[in-house]
Amino acid sequence: MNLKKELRLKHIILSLLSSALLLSFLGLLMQVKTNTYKTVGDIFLNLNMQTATANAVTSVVTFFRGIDTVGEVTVLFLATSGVALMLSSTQRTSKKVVKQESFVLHVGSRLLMSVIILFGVYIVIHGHLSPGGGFQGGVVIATAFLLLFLANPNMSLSHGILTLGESLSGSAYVLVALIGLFKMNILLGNFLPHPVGEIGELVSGGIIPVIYILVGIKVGSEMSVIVEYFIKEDYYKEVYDA
Amino acid sequence: MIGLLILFTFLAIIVVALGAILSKDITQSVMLFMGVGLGSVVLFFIFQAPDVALTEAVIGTGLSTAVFLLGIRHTSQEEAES
Amino acid sequence: MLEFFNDTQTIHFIIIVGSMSLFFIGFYGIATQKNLVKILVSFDIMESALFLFFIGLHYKVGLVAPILDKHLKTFTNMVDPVPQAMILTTIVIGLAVLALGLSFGIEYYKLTGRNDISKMNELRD
Repeated sequence: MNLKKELRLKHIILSLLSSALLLSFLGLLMQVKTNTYKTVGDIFLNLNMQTATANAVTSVVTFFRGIDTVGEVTVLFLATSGVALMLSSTQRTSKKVVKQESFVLHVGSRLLMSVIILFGVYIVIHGHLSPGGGFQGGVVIATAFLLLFLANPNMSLSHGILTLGESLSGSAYVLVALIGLFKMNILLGNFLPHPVGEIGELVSGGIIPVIYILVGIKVGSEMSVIVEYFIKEDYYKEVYDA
Repeated sequence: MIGLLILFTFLAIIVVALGAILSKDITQSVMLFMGVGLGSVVLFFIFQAPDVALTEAVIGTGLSTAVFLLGIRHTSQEEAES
Repeated sequence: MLEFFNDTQTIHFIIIVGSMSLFFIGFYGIATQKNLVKILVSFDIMESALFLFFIGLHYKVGLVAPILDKHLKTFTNMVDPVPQAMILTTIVIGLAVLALGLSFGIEYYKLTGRNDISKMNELRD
C-alpha cells in the first residue's frame, strides 16, 4: 500500500513537471512573430530555376545542402552496422526452418512483390519531378523484401550483392561530388548539362537524378538488411525454443 | 476552415499518443503509435509538404510498425506490475 | 464567424500548442514508463512532435507545395523547402536509430529475460 502511494506520488510530480515545462516553452514560443522574418529558403527558391529540377525539395536535398546528405547517409550506415553487430551474434549457428507459411501469403507475395518494386523504382527515378525520391523509394523497396521474408522465411538475401551495391553507391556519391569539385570548383557542382528549358522532363537537372538514384540504392539495401536481421532473429528464436 | 481541420487532427493525435503511453499492453501501444504516424501524414499533407507526407506514410506507419512488431514478438507482452 | 480559423497566426498558435503538448506527452512517457519498448514508443512520439513543429511553422495560408507542374511555371508563392528537406532525411535516420535501440533491447532481453529498466542492476557491484 505504501509502495503504491509512493508510485502515484511520483507520477503526479512528473506530470506536474511536464506541464510546467510545457507552459514555460509555450510562454517563450508565443512571443515569436512567426510569419514576418525571411529565411534562407527564399534565396534557394529564387536560385532554384537554375538547377532545372521541378521539385525544389529534391534540389535542396541533393544540391544546395548535398553535403548534409552525405553525413546523413553516413549516420544511416553506422546505425545499420550497429544493428547487424547486435543481432548477428546468435545467427551464425541458426538452422534451416521447416516452417510453411499460409498459401494466401505465399501466392500474394509473388504477385505483389514485382508491383511494389516497380513502384519503388518509379518513385526513385521521378524524384526530381514529383513528390518522392531516393529515401522514400528505397524504403518502399525494403517493404517489398519484408513481404517476401514473411512469405518464405527460408530465403536469405545475398549479402555480397547488397554490400557491393551499398558501398559502390556510397563511393559513387563521393566521386560525383569530387568530379564537381574539379570541374566546377565547388563541391557537388552540376557538371552535366542542365538546360533550363527542359524543366519537367525525365532527363533533366544534370547530376540531381543521378545522386538520388545512388541514394535510393544505398537506402534500399540498408533498410533491407535491417528488415532481414529483425525477421531472422525471430525465426532463430523459434528453433531455439523448440 | 483549414484551421478547424488542423485542430481536430491535432486533438486526435494527442488522444492516440496518450493512449499509446498509458496502455498496459505493448502490442496495443505499438498499434496506437501507428495512429500518431497516420495523423502526422494528414497534417503534413495539409501543410503543403507532400515529400514529407510520403516519407512518413512509408516509414511512420509502415516500416517502423513492422520493425516494432517483429522486435517485440519474443519479448514480454505485458508490462510487469511493479 | 469561422473566418478566424483561416488566419495564419491562429494556425501557428494551434500548431505550437498541439505539437508542444505532444512533445511533453512523450517526455512524460520517458520519465514514467519502465518497459524498454514503451520508452522507445515515447521517444518516437517526441520525434513526431518535432517534425510537426518544424514543418508547420513554415506553412502560411495561400502558399503551395514547392513543386512545378503544368499550371505552375515559376517558383513563387511556395512554402520553404529547407525544413522539408531536413525533416525528410531526419525521418529516415529516425527509423535506423529506432532499429538500433530495439536491437539493444532484444539483446538485453535475450541475455537476462527482463525488459524492465527499474530492475537493471547488472553493473551494480
